[in-house]
Amino acid sequence: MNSLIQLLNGFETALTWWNLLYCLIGVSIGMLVGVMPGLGPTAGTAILLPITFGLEPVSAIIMLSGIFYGAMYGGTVTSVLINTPGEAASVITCIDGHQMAKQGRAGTALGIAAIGSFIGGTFAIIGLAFIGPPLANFALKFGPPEFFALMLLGLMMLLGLMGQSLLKGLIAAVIGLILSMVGMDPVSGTVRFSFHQLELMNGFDFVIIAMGLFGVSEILMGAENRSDSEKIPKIKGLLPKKDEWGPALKSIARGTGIGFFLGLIPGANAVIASLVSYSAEKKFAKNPSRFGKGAIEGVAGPETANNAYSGAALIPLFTLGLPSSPTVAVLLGAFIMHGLTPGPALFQDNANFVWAVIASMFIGNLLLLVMNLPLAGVWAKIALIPYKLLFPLILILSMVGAYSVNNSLWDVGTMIVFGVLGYFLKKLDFPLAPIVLTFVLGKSIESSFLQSLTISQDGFFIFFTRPISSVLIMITLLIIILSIFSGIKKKRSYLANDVEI
Amino acid sequence: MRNLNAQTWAGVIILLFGVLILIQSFFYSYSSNLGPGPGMFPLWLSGILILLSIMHIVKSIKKEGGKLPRLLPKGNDLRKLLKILSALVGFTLLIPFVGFTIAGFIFLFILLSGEYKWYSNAMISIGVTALMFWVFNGLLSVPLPVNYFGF
Repeated sequence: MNSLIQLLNGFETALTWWNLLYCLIGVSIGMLVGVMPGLGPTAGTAILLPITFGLEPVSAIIMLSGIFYGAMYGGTVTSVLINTPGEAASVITCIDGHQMAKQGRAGTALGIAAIGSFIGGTFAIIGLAFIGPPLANFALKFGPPEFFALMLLGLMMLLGLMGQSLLKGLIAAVIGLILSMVGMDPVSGTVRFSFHQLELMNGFDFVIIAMGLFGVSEILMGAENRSDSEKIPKIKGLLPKKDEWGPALKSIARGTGIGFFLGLIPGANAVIASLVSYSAEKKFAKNPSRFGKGAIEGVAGPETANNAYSGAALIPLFTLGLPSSPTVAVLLGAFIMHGLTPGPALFQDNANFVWAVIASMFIGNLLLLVMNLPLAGVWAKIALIPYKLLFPLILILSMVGAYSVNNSLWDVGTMIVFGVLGYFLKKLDFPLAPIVLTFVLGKSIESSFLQSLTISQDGFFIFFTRPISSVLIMITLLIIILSIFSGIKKKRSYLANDVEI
Repeated sequence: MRNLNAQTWAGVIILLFGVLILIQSFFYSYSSNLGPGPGMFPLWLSGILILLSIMHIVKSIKKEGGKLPRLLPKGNDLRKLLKILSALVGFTLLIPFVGFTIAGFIFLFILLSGEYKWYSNAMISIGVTALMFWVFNGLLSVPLPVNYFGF
């Protein structure tokens, strides 16, 4: 009950006209980012992060998380209408969604996707509101060994679930950790790896690295193989036929469950959520042969799942300070930049802030539902903005954004270097997600590790003698062994794709 | 040695990076009075990185004959890529001298040239630069670099 009262207080903050405005701006930008192929939610959030510096922390996070979940709605529009996913989580929607559009039922596909997204997103936020506080309470008991074990587990999950090779993922993760060590050491204050450069003494800024690796590199990749989009079909009739409601609502329910569950697992991502939901729908269907030919379940399930995922993914962030995907990592970066530390203490120390953000997500989902049901056609037109005009604008915005972090051109240069680096790593099939995740967690991983050893009586064994951490470490080891030896490799190529765009 | 593929080269570069970090981490103390010191984490990490990169190199050599990822595109696409990169670098180098407005205009003009007629290109570039200058300098109060004349 306590949660309910606090949630109402949150609404009080979220419903002020300026926070409503930021929420609206956030979800609109999210829609834009989702609709535009070539600019994913990670890059979008990272590029806009510097702009929020001047804002109050609450408004800033309301806006940035709006971009995060708004993008999940936006990606659907282009998948259905022009068979081009605006972001990776909507790839699977192309299969049946675009078929529906070809049969003249684009409106229905978009309608059911919007309804499903709304239901999935709203349920996930309710989950966040009610699971969050007890989980945070539980996590308050965690000491450094538990946190270290938890972060290790999250990281291994990410590597295990990723499409690419485990070896490359590990290399990327270690590189991210090493990059995070540049600058002041969190425990002793020693300046490391500065190579006598004044700028390096403060270390790299997370935003700069994220913008370079995800934003700039994406644009550089876009220099090749970019085709201009086709004509958009007409949208009419947003609601499914009478006999379709039943199966569609059932897939929405399943999608909500799948997305929510996967959101809780660190390392899973929205793409996995929509893929798992699609294959589940295929299994549950009485007549699976309809899939690929415009089955409404093939749109409703996955679209619901990726939205439920994005709401649930905030649970580990808010309660444990653990980001599960690069976009959430950017959100974590935003928290830190605004002087907030996500983690168990957040619900206690910044209760007003947390509940206002949660409340704003209810509002944001409602706004998105309105934006998507009657206005889907407008967004589709935006997808037709030519890329040749778009990318210079994105680039100049990123550069100004990078500059504004510290008012220094050094950061702009660093971002370009990381952009080039990211370009080559992508070309070589190295995953970029582990780099940013370990980078953003690097300092906490190191300090929790060192603190554990400091309080430990018997060295490394502290991770095994404490019950919670030993369980977590055991699961971690299990995942490592599984991903090396079992047939996971085959399944992984199915999950494949670079999911981080 | 033409058959050393791109993956191998990447492995070698990562290996060298690992060695650099390893050497550097010997300068930081491995342990302190309180327990482990600032040198411990870098030492272990760079060691692991070196190990992993060697595994990667071995794997990439064994896989020879397989498809090599083409690192750079060819022809027109390569020209586009280089245009973007040089515009980015040029903008960064130019901005301290000419200020944001002029550097931004040149940046956009270069990237949009060939896609639009020069006059519409110029109008878009001027418009966008002016708008951004106004938004950042005015609305968000982020002081962008200006030239001698103050714009």
